[in-house]
Amino acid sequence: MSPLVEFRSVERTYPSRQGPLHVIRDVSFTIERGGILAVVGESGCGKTTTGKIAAGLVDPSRGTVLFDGENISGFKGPELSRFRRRVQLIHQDPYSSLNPVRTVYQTLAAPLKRFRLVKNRTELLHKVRELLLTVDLTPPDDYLYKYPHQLSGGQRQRVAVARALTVNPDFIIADESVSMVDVSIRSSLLNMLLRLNQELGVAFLFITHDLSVARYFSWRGKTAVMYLGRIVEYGPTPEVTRLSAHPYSRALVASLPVSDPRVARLRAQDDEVGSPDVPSIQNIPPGCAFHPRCPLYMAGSCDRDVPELMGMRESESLHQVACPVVLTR
Amino acid sequence: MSIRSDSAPPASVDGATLMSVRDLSVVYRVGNRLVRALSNVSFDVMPGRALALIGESGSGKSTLGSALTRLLPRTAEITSGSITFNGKEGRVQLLDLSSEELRRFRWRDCAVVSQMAMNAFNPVMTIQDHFEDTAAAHGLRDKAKIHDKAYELMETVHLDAKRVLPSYPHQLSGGMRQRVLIALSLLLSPELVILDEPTTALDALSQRAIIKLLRRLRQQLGLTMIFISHDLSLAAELADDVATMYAGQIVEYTDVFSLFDKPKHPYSVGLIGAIPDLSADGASLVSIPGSPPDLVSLPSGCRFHPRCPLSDDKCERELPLLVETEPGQKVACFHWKDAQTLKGSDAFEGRNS
Repeated sequence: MSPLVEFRSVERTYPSRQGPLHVIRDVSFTIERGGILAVVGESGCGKTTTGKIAAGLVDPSRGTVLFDGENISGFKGPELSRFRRRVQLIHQDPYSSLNPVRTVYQTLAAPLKRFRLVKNRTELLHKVRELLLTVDLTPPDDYLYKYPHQLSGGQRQRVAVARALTVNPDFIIADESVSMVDVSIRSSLLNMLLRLNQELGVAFLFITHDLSVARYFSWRGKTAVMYLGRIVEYGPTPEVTRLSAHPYSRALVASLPVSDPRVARLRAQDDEVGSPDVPSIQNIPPGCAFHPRCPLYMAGSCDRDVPELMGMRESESLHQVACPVVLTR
Repeated sequence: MSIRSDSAPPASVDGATLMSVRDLSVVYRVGNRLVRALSNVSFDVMPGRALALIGESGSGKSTLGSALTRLLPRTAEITSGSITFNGKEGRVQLLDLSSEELRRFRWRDCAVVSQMAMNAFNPVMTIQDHFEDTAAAHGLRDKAKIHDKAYELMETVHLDAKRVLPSYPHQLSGGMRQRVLIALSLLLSPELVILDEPTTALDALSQRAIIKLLRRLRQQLGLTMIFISHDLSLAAELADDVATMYAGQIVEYTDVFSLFDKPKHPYSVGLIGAIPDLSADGASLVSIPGSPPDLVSLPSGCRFHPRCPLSDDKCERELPLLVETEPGQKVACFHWKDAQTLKGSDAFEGRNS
């Protein structure tokens, strides 16, 4: 059986006055039915573009995206409508992604009516209540007739998740969906999304800048670390985060917060990066894009050849890394 | 509104503190509603130490930060309390200063590094101009001297002065702008620096660089710092003392090691458990049910009680005061002795509000 989602050497460029901007290049990955892939990276790494392409909102400039084995750029009419129902996107900002003049009930009822998923009013109300229960907004009757401004950020984000669930999607793209909510709320949102994955079998593309959140969410799935448009490390999350091989992933892991002040102060200062700032995407360094910041930089090769993702030799799993220096060690 | 005056009066301020806040309350008037952003907050800042004010949105941490330098917006009103600054220039009561005295106090005695590194700059002025402008506002007009000082400060924060000083703010990355702001805050050698969310908008590796820089500055210059952040892990990295804020109050005040070893307020226990970290391999994170209260209609009694697994009738009726449990450690909870029982990811479950 084909995977649910497959990216094959996907590339996206945008024209600009300085020449084409390569937002993502040669991005390949698969997400199984009910699987989780976390995409992690800093600003400008292409993670949001990756999500938009997966949602069919942006076309790849090159390469193909397969959904259930079919090329999504060929979808038209009823096929496209079916695809749109099976794939849902949850945005970062629940303040702007909900219509401010619609009540929670109206927001959730609209797609149910549009796609004729309920037969009558009684069933509609019943379904809306059920959705609110699924996202832990209990008792549901307290929320039905509230407007977004009457809800907290965490509650709004739950409504956004409930809206995504109205159409029973197989695949949810969550783009920084928990990064705007407070810490005490964040974990309950993450746990709720994980429950959707485990109980309803919804597959997730989970996009975040925060490796610790990615690691938590995709512990049973895979993680792709992106840097300036390319995947630099890819594989099962425990391996990518515990046995990180790429110098960039290692630097990200080293920058993770630790909830112990003693450890935080004694933390090894290795994996030091040259410059703390990501270069501009308008001016991506030649060869390996990470080479100007890399502690393992080798002149003559790293600044010339673009490294390819290759399997870690000793590892039998699918752990891949794009760094010849690490691979030949 | 009721103002309790149970905290120590300003007269009891110990001579060793750099800043003392007593019984500080701030409200915002929005239409005919009263938003109680800060309620009877008291704490001390010791010279050379770093205090972290940690809280979620609506906890009052930013209001407190602005109140400390009297930078509150017009809609805010300080309804009670005092702020005493005990610096080189002698003791001053901040709430009694005229606007001219305040203008001189800010930056010279106490500098603020504001949250939005981009908004803090004038977009049509170069970084060099910002240094000259700030110096001129405090009566320093010797351009050569300011230039030398700016150069030196750029080196302190690891920036290439030749490149950065003639640049405009938009030509710099977020991490560089944050470092420029830190350099600029040090221009008049203040005794206290207040940093509002110093790492929040930055990428992971830039965050790390800023944390390292701030740690080094503390060692080199012996600066006293106050960090305001939603991020408890920033406190773990940088702070000596931590004030945990909830719904406009300090609910726990302690040194950073005791906080992480043995948090005494149920809210602190939950917050620490909610940080996903390296050791938590796929383990469940603590999630605190419910959400922070609306500051217009605060819950009765302890403001955390609707979300707290330890709450009982007393918590619903009475507001717990911040009391000392051990020297240097204070907590506002009737059940602090039982807070340790809340460790583990499911301790907060089975409660809905």
